[in-house]
Amino acid sequence: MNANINFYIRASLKALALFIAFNVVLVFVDPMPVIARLSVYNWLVPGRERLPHARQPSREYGVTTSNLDVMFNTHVIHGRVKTADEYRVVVLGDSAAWGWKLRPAETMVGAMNAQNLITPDGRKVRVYNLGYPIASAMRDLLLLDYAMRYRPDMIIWMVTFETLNDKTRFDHPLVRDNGTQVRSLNERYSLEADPALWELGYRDRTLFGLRRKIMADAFRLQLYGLPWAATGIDHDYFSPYDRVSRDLKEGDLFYDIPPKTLNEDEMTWDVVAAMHQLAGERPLLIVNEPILIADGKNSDVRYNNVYPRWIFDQYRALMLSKSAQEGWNYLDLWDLIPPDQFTDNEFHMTPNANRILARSIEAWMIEQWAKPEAAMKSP
Amino acid sequence: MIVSVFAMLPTAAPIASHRFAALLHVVHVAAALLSSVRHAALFVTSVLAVYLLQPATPIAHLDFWLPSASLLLVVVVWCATQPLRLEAMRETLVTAGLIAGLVLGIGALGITTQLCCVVTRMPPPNILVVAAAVAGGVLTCILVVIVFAGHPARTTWLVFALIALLVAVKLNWPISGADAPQAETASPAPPPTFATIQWLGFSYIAFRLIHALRERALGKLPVMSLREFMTYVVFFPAIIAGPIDRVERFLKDLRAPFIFNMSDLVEGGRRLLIGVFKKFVIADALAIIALNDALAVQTQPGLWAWVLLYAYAFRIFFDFSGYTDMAIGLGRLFGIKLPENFNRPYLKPNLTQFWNSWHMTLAQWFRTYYFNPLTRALRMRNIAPPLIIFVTQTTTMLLIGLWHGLTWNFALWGVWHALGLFMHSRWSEFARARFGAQDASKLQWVTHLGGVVLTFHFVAFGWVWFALSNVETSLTFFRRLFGMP
Repeated sequence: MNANINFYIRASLKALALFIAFNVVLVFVDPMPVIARLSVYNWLVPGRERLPHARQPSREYGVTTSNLDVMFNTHVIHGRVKTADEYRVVVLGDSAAWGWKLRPAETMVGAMNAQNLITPDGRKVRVYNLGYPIASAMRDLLLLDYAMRYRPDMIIWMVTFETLNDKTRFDHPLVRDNGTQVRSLNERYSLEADPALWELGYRDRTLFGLRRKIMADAFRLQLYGLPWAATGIDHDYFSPYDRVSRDLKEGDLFYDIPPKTLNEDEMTWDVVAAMHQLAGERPLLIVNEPILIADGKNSDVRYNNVYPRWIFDQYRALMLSKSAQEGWNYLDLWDLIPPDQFTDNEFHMTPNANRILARSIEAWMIEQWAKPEAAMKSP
Repeated sequence: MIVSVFAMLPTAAPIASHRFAALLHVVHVAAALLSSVRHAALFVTSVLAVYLLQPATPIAHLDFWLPSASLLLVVVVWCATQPLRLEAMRETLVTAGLIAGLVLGIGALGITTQLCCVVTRMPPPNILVVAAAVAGGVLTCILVVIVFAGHPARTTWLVFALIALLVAVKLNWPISGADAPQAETASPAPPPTFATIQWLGFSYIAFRLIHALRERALGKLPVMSLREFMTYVVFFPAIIAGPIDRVERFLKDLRAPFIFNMSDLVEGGRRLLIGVFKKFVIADALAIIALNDALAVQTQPGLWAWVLLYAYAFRIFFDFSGYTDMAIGLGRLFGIKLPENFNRPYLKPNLTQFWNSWHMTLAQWFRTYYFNPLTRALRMRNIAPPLIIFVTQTTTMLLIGLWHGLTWNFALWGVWHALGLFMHSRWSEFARARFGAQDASKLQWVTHLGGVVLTFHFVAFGWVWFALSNVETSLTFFRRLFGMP
């Protein structure tokens, strides 16, 4: 028994020493790029059609994580080697682009893929959904920066005023949790920096801090790959919901802001410019996404419960003038969708509305391809 | 160990011997003190754990009343089964006072907003109501002592009362006026029923109490104090998922002098860690992909359905045996050697051996208090042995199934295993008569392996009934297993 006891004491001490050493290593080395590579997606189970996001993991067979390596390694884009005959399009945007309350095939990206478009030089258009809930321009820059390794030929950026409003620049979990990458982008493109931008402290880099959660989420996301593969479900689109109201609240406040002139410095133009720099020669299409234009009570003052008319009209005017001035590809589709085609909020649309939206964007693409100066280059 | 060292002392060293005897006395006193402290700690912790581990309920204050009812039932059964011992009256009154004090103390926490939910999930009821309930409990116990003293046969009434209570709490009575559970989605939550209320450990508490009542009726129940009985029934490591110990075995450990022992610490710690790993790492990870009502209907037919089924089979094993390991490990740390509940059940070559190694203490309980008495009773009526086996096995397994919950699916799970056990017993009989005791050493491992695979799959198919909530979903899933939509 003494021998046994000694064995257990020695084993415990060794385990403790290894555990401490492992945590010390974690302080200096980020293991996530390596861990994220150990992914079951795209070989054992199919890659996901959109980035993982789940409020109720046990119902949606996914986990919300902020780690970009883990997120992208689960995505179908990661597992598909780009071939010479593929024209790769990535779509960035908020929950409307991601496809809230929709199956992947019912989203705008799904509708575009269903069209099986062919470019004039014979390449098959394959569209990838890189949308993610909650609007933020900086978040989209972060995602595009990562997505560039997948060599897209075209970028479609779905925006609304909330996306380009400077208030949402850093107000997104992905931005907050990827401080190192955001700092790097700030430096590369001389962007406005947030001095309070959070980075993992020493404790958070160990298993006693946030890194444990990041690693655990990565592991759980692998496990959820199995029910995802078994069911094809990655989101709770089966629970009933209340339709967005077409009768609006009183007043003309935008959150708590009364009517005023919208200044240019309230917009994240520097991020938009950075998006263009990052895209390089690839076409970047900015789409002002459709919003609910309600027709009920108080609709003479507001378009919907988020946007009073005064702010959205100014935003549209600013976007038009700025894009003309900078030569951006800009498509204003704000009023494309009738009010009965919105689902649970002012931005989320039905499958039918997404098909209409997809057709409009495809029409723009086809029009561009038809222009003699449009050279079909593959980066 | 101490005795053996003492025996080694040289007789020619009386001074050293004297000193060692003194040392031994000190050790014994310390051990007695330690035992006493350990016993008191186990008692108080176990009583508090009944409240601490009780999940929240949709009815206000039920998370206080259910644990209180558990304690009252224990005291009532103790009163009904133990002889009046004047010499132990002081200890009994102290223990009863302590229980009442703990209940009142927990109730009194409701007075302060800061401490109201330290022990219970929701604020306890009004302290005056709690005091009145405690007084009512005391009166009930006095009444029980008067009615049951010297009448061991009357304990049968309590057995039936406990069974009736067990059935009642497992029935799907609708609860009027209950708060609907918080819905995670926009879909309306189903109205709460009595069966959805979790009465922490009641199934185990009831079975330990019935065990005590039956042993009393048979005249085999040892004499014990209220504190010992309470500790046995609500022993905190075993209250959630067993095992169901026998009272006389438990008392042996509880009464043994507790000497802090390194080997108990190491072995208990090892078992505890194994249990934690099984439950919180393996079982909880498997839970993500294990069969459930939603996945059963959402899954595509074919391969993935099998993955879900296997995941469930291993998940339930690691979950349950993990809890058992934790209970055994914790018990060992306190000097209580709880019985084993699992013995590699999925490696058994037939269903009979599976049931001798799966939830062993529950199977043993049913064998002792239902299967064996029924078999003896039927044999006396000259009924054909195969029919006796069929009836006893079917009803036993049906009851084991219904012990988990009064639903058609649990009943079907029980019947599924009953049919399997009956077929195995008939096959064994046939094989013995047909093949005799032939030496089949060359083929033995093949038949053994085949038996293991067959038994595992029979058990796994049985889990479909167990895991799913209704027959329709179960049949749908069976179809998907075999590639049918």
